[in-house]
Amino acid sequence: MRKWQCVVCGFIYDESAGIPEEGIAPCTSWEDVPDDWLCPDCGVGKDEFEMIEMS
Amino acid sequence: MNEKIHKTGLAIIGSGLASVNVIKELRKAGDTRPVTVVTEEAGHFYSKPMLSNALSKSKTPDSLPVQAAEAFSTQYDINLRAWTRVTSLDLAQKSLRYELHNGSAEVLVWEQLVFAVGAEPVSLEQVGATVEAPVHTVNQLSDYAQFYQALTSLAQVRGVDRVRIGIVGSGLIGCEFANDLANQGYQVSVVDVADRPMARLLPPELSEILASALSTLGVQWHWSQSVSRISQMEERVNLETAEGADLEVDLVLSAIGLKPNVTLAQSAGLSCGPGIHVDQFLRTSHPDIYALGDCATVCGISMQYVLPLMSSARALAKSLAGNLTPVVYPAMPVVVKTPACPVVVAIPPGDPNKASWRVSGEGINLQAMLMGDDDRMLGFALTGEKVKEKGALAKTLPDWLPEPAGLQ
Repeated sequence: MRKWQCVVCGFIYDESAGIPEEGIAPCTSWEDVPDDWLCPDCGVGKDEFEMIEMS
Repeated sequence: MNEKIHKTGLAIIGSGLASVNVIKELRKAGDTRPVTVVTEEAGHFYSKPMLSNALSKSKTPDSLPVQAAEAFSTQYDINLRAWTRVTSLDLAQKSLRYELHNGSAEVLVWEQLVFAVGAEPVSLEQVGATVEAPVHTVNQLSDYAQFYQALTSLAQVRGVDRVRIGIVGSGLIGCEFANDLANQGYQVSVVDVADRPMARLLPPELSEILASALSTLGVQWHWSQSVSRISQMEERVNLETAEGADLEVDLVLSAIGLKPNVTLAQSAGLSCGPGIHVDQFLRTSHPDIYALGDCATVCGISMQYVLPLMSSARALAKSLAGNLTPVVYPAMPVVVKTPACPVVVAIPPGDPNKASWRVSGEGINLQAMLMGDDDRMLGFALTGEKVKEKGALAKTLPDWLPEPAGLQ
């Protein structure tokens, strides 16, 4: 499972956790998150997210 | 004086987050009109909110996520004039005059103009201090590079834990920087005229949680102190206050507020105060001139955060593409990037009369509701585990800038 971080505000989307409150189930891959989904903290789109390396 | 004259469709002054998102959304909507961006900066796309906790993420200035100006210009088909300062506007001619880096001037004739010029840090001189030594502010990518350079040089010579940083301002940005720098091992002191952190956004109980968490990291607080003088003493910097404090530090960082960049708009006769006045369609008093982001005051609301900026950019792009769209602000919580103590605040615009805080929770997990005099919740602030409730709580709040009644 991967993590994706918003480059504008730092919010992290964790695939294993999903975002149940928004109807995104745990283990939803980034590709399956809707295209029009916005960062919940700052409102930017999916194209402002980068996959973060995990150490 | 034979100044070169250029023509464009949409002229945008500024190349920050607001500008970039208007362009992206405009092109996404299928609009292909000529766009010219004039910017004082290099024109690279970066994230300002990330600057205040970039150290902990080991972000050297060169490794901050940046899309190069040229790549962006090509991808979105825009004409970029970087390192260029707009010197005047001619509203009647619908043109602007700018100066290139080499000092020569040119004219750009536009059909529509967007101000996306942001805000700049309030300076210590503006609040009455005498400044005789370098004071760092971090508002643009170039500032971050300078700050980072000064910091790492000092750290290399003295060792990180021997570098003392004086931060003036304990608001949201000051606290984020304090956290970021303390995390790295620097000795951090924070000076403010207030008597607690984020005094304008949090009730006392929540300020206390944040203050404790940062104190645990080693941050030292100097409350109710008004900076009167910053001076150089050999390699150190002296920070004096009107109340008699005298701090010796190695570097000063100021974060005492932002003021919208309105000089150009004002000199052209557009209504401003504090930001450039625009209506719910982001229109200034001139029908072909718009403003958005940190430089704008939208229907009387000045909120210098990303959420309202993004809403505005999307609405403006749709309008420019031919589908007149008002900006609507739901309740917009702000996430404070202080990893030592998660904090979220959602304070509505304006000054709610007779609003009072109702605080509940335990330990570091507090929930504070801002209650109006009719016992309705207007806003909230959360710490610790309670921050998880921000989405649900925000949904119960009325829009901060609702849909206009009867769309024209």
